[in-house]
Amino acid sequence: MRLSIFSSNFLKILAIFFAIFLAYNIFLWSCKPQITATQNQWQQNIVFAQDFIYETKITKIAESSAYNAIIVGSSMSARIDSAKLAKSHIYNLAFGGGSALSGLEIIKQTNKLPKAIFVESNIAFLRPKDANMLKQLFGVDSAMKKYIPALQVKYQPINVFLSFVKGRAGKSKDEKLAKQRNEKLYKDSLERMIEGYNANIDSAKYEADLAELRVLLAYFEKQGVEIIFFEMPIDEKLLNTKQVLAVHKVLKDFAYPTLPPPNHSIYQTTDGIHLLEKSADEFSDEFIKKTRDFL
Amino acid sequence: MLLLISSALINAITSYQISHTSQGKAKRFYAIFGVCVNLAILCAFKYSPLFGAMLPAGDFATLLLSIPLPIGISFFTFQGISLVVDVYKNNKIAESTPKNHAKNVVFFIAFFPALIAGPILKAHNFFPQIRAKYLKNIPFLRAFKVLILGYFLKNVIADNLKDQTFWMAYPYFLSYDSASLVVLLIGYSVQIFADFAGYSLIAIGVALLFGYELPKNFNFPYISASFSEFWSRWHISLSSWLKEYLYIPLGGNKKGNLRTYLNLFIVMALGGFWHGAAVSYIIWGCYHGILLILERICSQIFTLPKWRFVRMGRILFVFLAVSFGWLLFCLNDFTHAIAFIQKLFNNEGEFMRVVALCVGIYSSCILIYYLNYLLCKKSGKNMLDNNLIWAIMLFLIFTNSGSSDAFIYFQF
Repeated sequence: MRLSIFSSNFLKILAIFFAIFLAYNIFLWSCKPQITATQNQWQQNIVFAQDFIYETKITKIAESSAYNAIIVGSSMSARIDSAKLAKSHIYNLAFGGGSALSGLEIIKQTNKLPKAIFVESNIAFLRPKDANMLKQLFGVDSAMKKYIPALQVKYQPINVFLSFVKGRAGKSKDEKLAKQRNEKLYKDSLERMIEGYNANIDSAKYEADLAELRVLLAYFEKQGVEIIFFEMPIDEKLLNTKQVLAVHKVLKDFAYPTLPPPNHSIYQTTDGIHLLEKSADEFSDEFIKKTRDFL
Repeated sequence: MLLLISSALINAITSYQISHTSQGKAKRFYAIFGVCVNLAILCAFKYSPLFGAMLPAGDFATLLLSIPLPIGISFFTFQGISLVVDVYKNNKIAESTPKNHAKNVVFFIAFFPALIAGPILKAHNFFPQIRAKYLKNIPFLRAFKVLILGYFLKNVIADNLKDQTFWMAYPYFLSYDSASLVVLLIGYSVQIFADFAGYSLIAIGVALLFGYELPKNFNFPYISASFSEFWSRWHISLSSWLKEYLYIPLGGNKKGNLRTYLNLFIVMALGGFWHGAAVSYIIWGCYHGILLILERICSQIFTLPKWRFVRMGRILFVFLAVSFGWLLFCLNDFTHAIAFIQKLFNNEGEFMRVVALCVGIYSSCILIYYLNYLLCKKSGKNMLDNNLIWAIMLFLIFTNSGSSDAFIYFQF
């Protein structure tokens, strides 16, 4: 009995598919195209995380490593200048929409334990880990993705195309950190931020995330990693909101060292929480100076 | 699971009783009972949070708000109603023994490819297919191609567009200019089509692997030149169900103009309500009801010339009107939908260059898909006859899928 599944058309489709797939992988292995554009924030985060996971210069504490410390946090600490941090052997694993919990989980799963982890305290236990992202990074096929680059999000054909287009067109306005802010948008955004930061915190969820954070931090401490909290500067009008006060209260109860808090009044943000380019540059210098005592 | 089995058994018992009762009154009683039980299950589980939110705070309201929404309930309850009504009209659907009939009904209600998000099966189409299947009769190549097309639409087009139209959520859209909002709206229209059509094709492909032919659920709806044509091409299984089991029993278009308009409005409003327990869905349904009524009135007053550019203009108009309606799907909170419309006329904010480029790339794939359909109709040439195209789609499924997420219609 000959089933149609073995028809010549079916086999031809599969053969052409394997040929294209192999050719694309050979292209990626040999040319190693520079990927400078992704389609959206989620992809950017995955690419960013996969770069860390597959980066061979970051190894375990006991072995030689190009980095002594790692920062985990959200889009706020993603503003800290990565190039400046790299000179001080600090890897910035903070990403937009990300959380300290996701960052810590990534470090744990890759076992690339640094000497110290700097944890952004602003939303450390107010944003849960991204389970979807972690599943994508550490799923059953993650080992396969390391050796078959065509399966990595970074090398999606559309990203290769966008990077090519961007190479011709130059950096987009979205990518450059904002030099100046639109005052009307800033005011509207700050109003919404104040409202959001003053909303009632779901204490059951907050306790669950806090418990998860404690477990992760205890794990790292047991492995000999030093944990240090730091606060990103935000608009002064947010300092007395429920969320910020709740975070300060919890930090007091934690036994972990904290970097001296920033002087919020000297920094400017685009929307209340994300630093303008100049402020990000200034804060990066301040941050590196403060971390010297710990590294 | 318990609910699904209970629903299937109730439908089995009711439909068996209908088919094996000779008395007209008793038959009618069982039919009405069967329909009411299905509707009661749907209302109790799907609309209880809506009722709970309307009641003053108390234990009963809290209870209503805490009732979970079972997966696929909107689909299998409609299938139950279809079974009961079809058996009432035609006894031959039911098996002679209760055991065999119950087996067939449970199989029909719980047929897994279509259980979660359709297509909505009709008993008179599905029951004749229930018999032993043989491997030699399975159309593997056709099923394989249908699955590739389904996964391409869902994983490559819809899932990638979802990551762009994310910015339609409140309050993100407030930061962007009018052009960006128009791009997002068009992107969402393409996304919802690709998501639902993709899922339907996956369901159809899986069913084919088991030897069952499910009805086509989408027939290139965005080339419709009228709203009535749109509803004959979009979510065909729902629109045909509503026509057969609601519109025609209400009198259809046989009882004069005013009654026809009323019937159209009721059917579309209830169709909207079927989608979810939120005001925005009812308004969406009413919006389409009003469009259908206005179209009918206009067609009675004047006839547009059948020129090509007039047809193209009509297609564009229908597409834009339908896309506008999807806003209520995307932004369930009606105040957010109003804010979006207001922002459309306020050009302050950034233009989303990367988002526009990505929406353009993925939408162009759908545009090519539609153009291929038109080309095929006109000249008989079909790009999808080329094995290279299937291989490329398969390659993109593996290398260019977006972040996985539930099908949009999963929530219904």
